[in-house]
Amino acid sequence: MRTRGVLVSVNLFTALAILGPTVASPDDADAIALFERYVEALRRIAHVPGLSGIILRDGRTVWLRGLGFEDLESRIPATPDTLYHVASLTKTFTSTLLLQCVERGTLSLDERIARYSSAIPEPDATVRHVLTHTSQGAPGAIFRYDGDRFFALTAVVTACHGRPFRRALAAEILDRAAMIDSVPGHDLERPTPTLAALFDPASLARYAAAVRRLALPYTVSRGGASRSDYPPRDMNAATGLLSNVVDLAKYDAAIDANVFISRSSQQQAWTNAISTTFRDTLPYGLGWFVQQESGVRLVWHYGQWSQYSALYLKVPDRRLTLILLANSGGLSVAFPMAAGDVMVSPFARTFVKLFVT
Amino acid sequence: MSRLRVWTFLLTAVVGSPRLAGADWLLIPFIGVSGRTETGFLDLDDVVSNPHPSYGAGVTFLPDGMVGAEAEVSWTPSAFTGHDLIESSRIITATGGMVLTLPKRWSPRVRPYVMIGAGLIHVTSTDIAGIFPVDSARGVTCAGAGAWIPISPRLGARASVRYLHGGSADATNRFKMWQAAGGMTVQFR
Repeated sequence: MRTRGVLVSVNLFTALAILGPTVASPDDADAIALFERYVEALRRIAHVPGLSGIILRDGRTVWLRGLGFEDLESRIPATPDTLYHVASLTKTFTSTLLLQCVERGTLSLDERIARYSSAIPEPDATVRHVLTHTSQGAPGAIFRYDGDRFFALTAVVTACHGRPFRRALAAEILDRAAMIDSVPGHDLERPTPTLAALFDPASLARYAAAVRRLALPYTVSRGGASRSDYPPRDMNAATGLLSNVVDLAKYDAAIDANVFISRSSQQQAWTNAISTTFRDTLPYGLGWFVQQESGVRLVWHYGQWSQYSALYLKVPDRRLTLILLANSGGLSVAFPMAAGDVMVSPFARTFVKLFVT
Repeated sequence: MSRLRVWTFLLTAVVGSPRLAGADWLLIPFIGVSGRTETGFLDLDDVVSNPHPSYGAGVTFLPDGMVGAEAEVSWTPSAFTGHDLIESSRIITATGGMVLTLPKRWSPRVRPYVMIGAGLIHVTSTDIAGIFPVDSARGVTCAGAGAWIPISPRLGARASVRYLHGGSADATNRFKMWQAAGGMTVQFR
């Protein structure tokens, strides 16, 4: 088990994005000021009590902000350190873990998923089909986003890494990127003995301390946002990670530096799947949405619980990233993002229009 | 077909009225207030539901009997504009419908009425970065009530309240607006 000191020293460059001051070029300054005005207006319209966000350009933080409240009733402001359930952003981590296995020769994405899980009824469905959301019906033919099916990849990661999913996630990604505030499962706040046995005492103490900064959950109703229960506390390949925008910026920097997987593997993850039946381009790669907007490639994922939501949007060719986390479903719930067009999100649209096109 | 029958009936009722010869035609320039407006469009400045001044004009055909007709156009400038992110906007309504009033012989000095009708709204909005432009028209139904007070053979006054509703129950595809208006009338017989 690694100590916290080691964690912080590992991949020091990944922390540069947040350790240095927020730097905006003169070209960015006007766009950033305008972006924040739009996001604040959209936050109110979408009934998001608290939102934390970061924009990274060329590995530097150009915007880092908390807007609104992590605890609406006690008027505790949201900050960049505020923790959120990131929901389906977890899927991008699963993608990386699986591609690590492929690089190490412990997994082929074209193996049948039935070897690892009985959750997918189609006997011919492969790991790749589940990872690309094309396992339903005739596997490979159509894209149908399905978080429940993605859950089946938990067993694949466990098998190919030779340790439980959360342990693999912590060791292979969170620790290597020095994501010291991220928690692989809300239930680590008060773990069962079995769960506690996966981690060293220092890590467990760190996780418990981080969870205390978790934003309170709210659901969007017609009249606004109302206090709600937490979403499920366990973790799997589809959902369950807790993190903040500072840690996700480290993750982003590590992805760009190919710390976890090779550039070639990352490009595979960011390449649209092709329907095996209709030969058309599908909106999803290996654990990431991929689309073109005005000739620019966008890779992204969204997260959606009714109580939390998230948006992670990368423009690899511009070395540009937006990460937004919120303590209601407002970032995602009103927009049909599962269909594969990030531009239906007014938050994403604002970012793309101001910084990309 | 049923809609055609309704309009045929209404037209017959208006044109075929035995009191047509004694009908009043009213020209009504008016000013008013629009409020409690809901649209499915992004309200970036959070002002669309606030009261906004409206301007417009209408023509009302008011017979001595009970059934008349009206057509009205209104213009609500800056409906989405709070001078933060929205730099220009407006809502235009164009409606027509049937008017039911008390016969003139019952109430010669005040002509209260109710109306129902339908029409179109046209919504435009431009934000400062041009990210969320709106230029949309959709159908609405409307209902209202008011009163016309003839002051002289040529001049009068009218006050009215109208409610316009369109779209579906889905909040992203809904239009609601209340309008209260008052104005002088010029009438012809």
